[in-house]
Amino acid sequence: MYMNLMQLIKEAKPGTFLKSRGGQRYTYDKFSFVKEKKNTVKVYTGHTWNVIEDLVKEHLTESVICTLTPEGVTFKLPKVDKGKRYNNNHHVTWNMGSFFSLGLLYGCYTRHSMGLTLVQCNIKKKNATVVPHGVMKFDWEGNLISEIPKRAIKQYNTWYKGVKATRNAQSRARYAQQKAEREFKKYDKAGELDKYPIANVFLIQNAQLRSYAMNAIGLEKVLAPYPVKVVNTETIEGQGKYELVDIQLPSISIYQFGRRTKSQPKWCLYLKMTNQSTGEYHLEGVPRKSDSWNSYIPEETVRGALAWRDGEEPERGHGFDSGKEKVSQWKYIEPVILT
Amino acid sequence: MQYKKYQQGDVILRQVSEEEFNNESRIGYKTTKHDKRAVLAEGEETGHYHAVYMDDMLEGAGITLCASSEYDKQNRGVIVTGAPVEIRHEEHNTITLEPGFYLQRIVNEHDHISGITRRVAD
Repeated sequence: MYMNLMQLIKEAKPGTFLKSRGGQRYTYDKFSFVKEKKNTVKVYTGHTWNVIEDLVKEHLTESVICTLTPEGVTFKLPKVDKGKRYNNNHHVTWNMGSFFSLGLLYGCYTRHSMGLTLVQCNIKKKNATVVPHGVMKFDWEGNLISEIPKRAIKQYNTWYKGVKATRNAQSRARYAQQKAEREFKKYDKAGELDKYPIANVFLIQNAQLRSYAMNAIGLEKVLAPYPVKVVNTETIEGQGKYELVDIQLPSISIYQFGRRTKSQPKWCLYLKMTNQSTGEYHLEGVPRKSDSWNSYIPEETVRGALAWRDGEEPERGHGFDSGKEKVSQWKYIEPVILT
Repeated sequence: MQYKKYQQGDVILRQVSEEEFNNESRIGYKTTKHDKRAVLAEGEETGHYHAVYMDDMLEGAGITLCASSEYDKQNRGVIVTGAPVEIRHEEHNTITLEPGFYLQRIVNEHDHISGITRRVAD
């Protein structure tokens, strides 16, 4: 007999069941909605229908992902094994996200941000973000009706503070970059480049304008306030002279390993070159291993920097192999024409 | 892997075999009709183009630009047919591409101030 989920909850006899697959991103998940007793349906999940059938027969409550009643849906989220915990999550939410993908609870889904899984739902019909916790009860309109424990609120506040700090820092950096460009154009137009704060040249994001600024002010003058070390020099036929220089820039705060490092002077690698068509100087930043976890120059030479710049760096492993690059595999291929 | 590489400013073109070109997953959307010019890359700030101008093309020459989809703003491949074509830019010398298959990319740059790696913006 055909019936919908609410009919199963309210009217069906115990032992009756409905089957479904997960929605977007979770299509390989399978669900079985089994009427257990009056007004109570339990939702089981597994990788195959046979597995689910066995779970239902054996009444294995740990494989129940939620309980459905006419009032709503109750999740009892299992705890993450402390020994296996690799991020900030305290509860397992994969099955919950999978259930949400069915679209039974309006506006509910799981998402990830800064190493934390979050539940997007409604509280009193308003969109809200909640850190998953032990028992979560929703009504059929997707409103979270259970109380949020103090630990989850504290964890949410810490996450929100981090997000806000990152967003503000990015906003400040963007503002400084735009201001540097705007002011450079203003000073350039007025012919007063000697009054332009030299440190701002490195803030100009647009490569063309940055190059123009360096040439207009003079590269030696731009680099004069900072300690500079020449790491490697090479003249490539048909391309001219390249220099890999290490410049100590003052007060750089970077976002690394999930937190913002303290603002301090930092040695930054730059590739110094000449535009073959116009003869202008260019300085382009390249990352060393400490600057980026997955994309960095294979060795601190001009050729290594050029290979990275042109996307010819070695393949790097993933997961447990990350950082174990096959350095022997990379090679900088010289262009037949460079203009 | 050995291939011929052409570079005009921040645009790199790698000449590859037809088989290798077709194996590239991000070139599903192809455009053969161009109004005045076929634009390989456009300067975000300067508004300068790396482009092939249709009026100056040799007789029989053809150019197809390839992107991953209709909405992909970045060109990822170029097919030159019939005769060589010239790529021009306001601030770089012109380069000539022989008929063949080319995969396109923009050079990388690391911004030490914001700590991110991105395509060079000009």
